[in-house]
Amino acid sequence: MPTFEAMNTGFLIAGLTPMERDKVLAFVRDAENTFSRFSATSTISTINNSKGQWVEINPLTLQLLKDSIAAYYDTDGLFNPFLGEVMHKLGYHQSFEKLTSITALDDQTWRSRCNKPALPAPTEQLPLYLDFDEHNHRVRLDQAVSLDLGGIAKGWVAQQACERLQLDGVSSGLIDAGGDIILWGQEPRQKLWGVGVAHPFEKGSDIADLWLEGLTAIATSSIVKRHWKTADNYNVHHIIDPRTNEPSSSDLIQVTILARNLVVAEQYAKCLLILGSSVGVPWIATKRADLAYIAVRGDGRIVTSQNLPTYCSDLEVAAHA
Amino acid sequence: MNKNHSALIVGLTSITFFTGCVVFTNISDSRERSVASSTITSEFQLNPDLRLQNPLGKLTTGLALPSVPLYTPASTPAEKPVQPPAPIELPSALQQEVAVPVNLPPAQPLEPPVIYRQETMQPTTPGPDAVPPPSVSFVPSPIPPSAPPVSTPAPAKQKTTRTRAS
Repeated sequence: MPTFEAMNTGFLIAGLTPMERDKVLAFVRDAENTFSRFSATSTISTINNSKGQWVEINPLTLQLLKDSIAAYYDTDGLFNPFLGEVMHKLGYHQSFEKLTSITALDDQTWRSRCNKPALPAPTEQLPLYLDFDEHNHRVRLDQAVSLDLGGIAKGWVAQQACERLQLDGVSSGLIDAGGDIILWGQEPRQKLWGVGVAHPFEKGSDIADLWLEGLTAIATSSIVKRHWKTADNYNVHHIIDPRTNEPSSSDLIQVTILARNLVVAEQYAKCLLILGSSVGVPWIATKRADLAYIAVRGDGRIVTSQNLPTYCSDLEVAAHA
Repeated sequence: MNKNHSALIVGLTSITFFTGCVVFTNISDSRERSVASSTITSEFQLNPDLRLQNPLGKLTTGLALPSVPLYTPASTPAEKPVQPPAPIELPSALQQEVAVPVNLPPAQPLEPPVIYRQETMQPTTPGPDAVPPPSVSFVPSPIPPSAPPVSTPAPAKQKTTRTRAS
């Protein structure tokens, strides 16, 4: 199946014609040049470097920023696009592949870190650090923060590409943006799309097999994948808890969310990962009972929602990871 | 109308009808026969006086007409209605119902068919030099308990991709 590298991750496209694939590729390349925090010439970098000033942006960037702010409020701020400064201070100031302090931690280390008491879900009023001037297609960022859209950009781009293809009449396809997947229609040969849920520690192994058809979005968030060492020799990862501005430390290691929209799936996977099972499961049931999840706890136990069959024609989930 | 006129009319009518009948007798094809009948009917319609008469009756006196009827109505009152066949009376011996035997033995379950397999028998008293010919006997082979029908396994589904953190 066709794959390509973009936005610092691997993309996979299935079930599309070469012409449709080219459309997706062109759209992803355009987004990559616009949204990267690590490219000095990207629109996001321009906004971050022009705090307090109005910056003209193109319609694509305006739409992404509006969707990011909507996700920020929908998730009570657990998805936070204003954590660029925090990430920078933690040492995540360049593309992850270029970090020199990447560490390799064994799974026991990760499991042992998932034992901190859960914090309550956020309830306070959320400040808005970004002003919109939609009439003139421009935005102004607050001096106190920096934008980091790394937690939404890939899924948003794949979702947009899917919607554009559907508007063109493409009845089925799959776009995998580094593990965040949007699929629609039927798989061409066997009708059902097969999606494995990766084991958090065992490369090449899956903890679940999902068989799907129709519009389905699947996103997985994990504290294991991107981690590095700080200057004071402290191991950190890229899932930041906005309540503490530190890497999250709930009892969950990995969370997979199934939804009908990839941006939603991606956001709520992070939220559940940050909140942990004891707080996050009731929180997500209140916020979005339509979402389904497969979560791996630090002790290896796999927690799933009861509504997984709503999304899956067939599925098999391991009890333990 | 005097007698001469009446004779003339009857004569012309007879000639016309006779001509039609001659045409009819030379036609063997049913389709053409139908045309001929139509011609005759038209002649009758032209002469209302002849509708009341039986033209065949007039012509049978001196002419040989075909015995084929020109027209058969859908229902002929003169036809004899078909009567259902009278019930055949059987001899009293045959009319007796077959008595069901009351004291039949209970139905026995069918024994499973026996399948034989070949087995080579060893000679019981082999001679020192004699090479016994292999004798063949058959022993029943147990029947496996109703094995499920063999079905071709469906091809395994292929996973397209894997969701993972990136």
